[in-house]
Amino acid sequence: MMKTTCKILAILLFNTSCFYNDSIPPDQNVWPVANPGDLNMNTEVLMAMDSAVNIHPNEGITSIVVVKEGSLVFENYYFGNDRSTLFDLSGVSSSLSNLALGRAIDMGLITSVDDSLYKYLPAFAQEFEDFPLKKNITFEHLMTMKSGLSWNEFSTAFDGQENDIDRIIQSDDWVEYLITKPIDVLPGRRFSHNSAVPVLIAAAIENQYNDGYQSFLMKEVFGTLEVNNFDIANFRGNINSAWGISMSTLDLAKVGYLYLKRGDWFGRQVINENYMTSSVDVQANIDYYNSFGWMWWRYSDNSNFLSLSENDVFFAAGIGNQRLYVVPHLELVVAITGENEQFDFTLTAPFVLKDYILESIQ
Amino acid sequence: MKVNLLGLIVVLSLGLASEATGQSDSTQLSQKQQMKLRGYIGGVYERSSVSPVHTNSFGLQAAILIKNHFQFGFYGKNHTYHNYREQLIFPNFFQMNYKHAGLLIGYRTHLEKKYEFNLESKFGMGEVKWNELETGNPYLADKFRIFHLQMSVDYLLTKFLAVNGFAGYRWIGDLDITGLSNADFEGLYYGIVVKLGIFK
Repeated sequence: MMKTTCKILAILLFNTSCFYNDSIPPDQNVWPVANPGDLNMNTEVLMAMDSAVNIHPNEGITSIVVVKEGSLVFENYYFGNDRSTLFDLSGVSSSLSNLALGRAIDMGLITSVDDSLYKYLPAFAQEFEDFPLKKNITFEHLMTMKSGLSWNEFSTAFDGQENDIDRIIQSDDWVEYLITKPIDVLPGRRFSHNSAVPVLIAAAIENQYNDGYQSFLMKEVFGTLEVNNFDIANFRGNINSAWGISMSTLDLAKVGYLYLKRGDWFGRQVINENYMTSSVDVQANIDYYNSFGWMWWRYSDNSNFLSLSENDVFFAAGIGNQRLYVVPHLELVVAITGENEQFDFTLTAPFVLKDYILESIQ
Repeated sequence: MKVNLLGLIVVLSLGLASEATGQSDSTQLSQKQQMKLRGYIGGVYERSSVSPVHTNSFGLQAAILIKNHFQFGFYGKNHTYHNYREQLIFPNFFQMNYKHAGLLIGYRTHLEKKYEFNLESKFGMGEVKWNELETGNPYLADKFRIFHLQMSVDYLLTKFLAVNGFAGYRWIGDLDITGLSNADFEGLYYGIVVKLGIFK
């Protein structure tokens, strides 16, 4: 009888365990949830935004998360995506490499932003000896797009053989492709947008960190922000830190929130405050309307695009309508993802911010 | 911690009660009777409070009866009353669902008469889930521990069929999810079980 009883109990316990073994979507335990109306945001305008995104399936916006004054006030996903979707961040990835560099400097892996790149790429020592001007390239030059390396990204089509993005994708070693480009102008002199320079920053960090760059991001950077799930594309052994990171929209908003708080993650200084401030300050004036920090974009003082009383907005941008906006004077973080790479938007992420989210506050 | 402590106390109490009863029974029942395998399976309906409303749950319960008095088994319940809705995270509305399952132990009087009273406890694990109302997809969820202490009364309809009415109090621990807390689930509950089995 004892044997039978034990068998019955085993079956019962098995049934019990089967009852609650569903996979659980992760909750966010970072911000309290608040109704936007409680923070003086116009909920009707936000509902209009939600409808506008929903009724235009080809506009390319796949999710929106809004954090206002430390509370999650809006979160929605569109066209089959949900909270657990890892969205391709495209060029927003490069702004994340700014975060990685800040952490590497705090950990002593990299001396400072003024340090020369060549010290961290020993495999290419001969290249630096052959072209000593390249020894002057610092991490700050990389982050302000003033490396001086010849680069042709936006003046030709992306599918053309003259385009460096296409050519680096086809190359076997992305670091080698970048570092062997000729010097066009003295480092630090001229802004020339090069989407691939985060690859050099990642290579430098990887040479200093034993477990590799992906592990560095997981353990030392994103792990400190409770970001536990992300992906980084790998092209034939080349880690694409430049435009290959995928992440959930909530996790992307956490990154924005860290910058809003100047590196202070709920009482813990995760990244040096001065570094965070310098990262989003104007470091380069690109044209009449746009400025650039350290891998972060800004609207120039000439731009009145957002019609705000204070021009302190900084943002990370991707080519597929991905945006991470931070508006410090409004204590606002807006993460928007998209997947439209056909450039045929009629409702773009900047207009989502301007016409709906900021409009709901004013 | 409170849930664990209560669970331990009840398990120990029932264990001692069972031991004591086993000794007195030995003078009344033959060894053959005692070794006879008894048990039941039952369908459960439960009404319990999830602040600020009451919810209905349906489930299953099965147990074996040892030495006529001690029952050991499992239970599982699923909240099915779909009226717990909130605009949890703007702009979407969400439907809360929860379920829990675990072990059932209890001291019960031997069902010789039509009516008998029992003391039971249940200790289990559960999951609360917020589903997006529009799509039905799970949005977020969290697991919890649950402990019940209840009194019940059995009414024997036929030799193999009994109806059980129960009422008790439940405690929840470890729940950490937007819009709900342990306190929302704690409180009185009551319900009925229709049992099919061998009782005598």
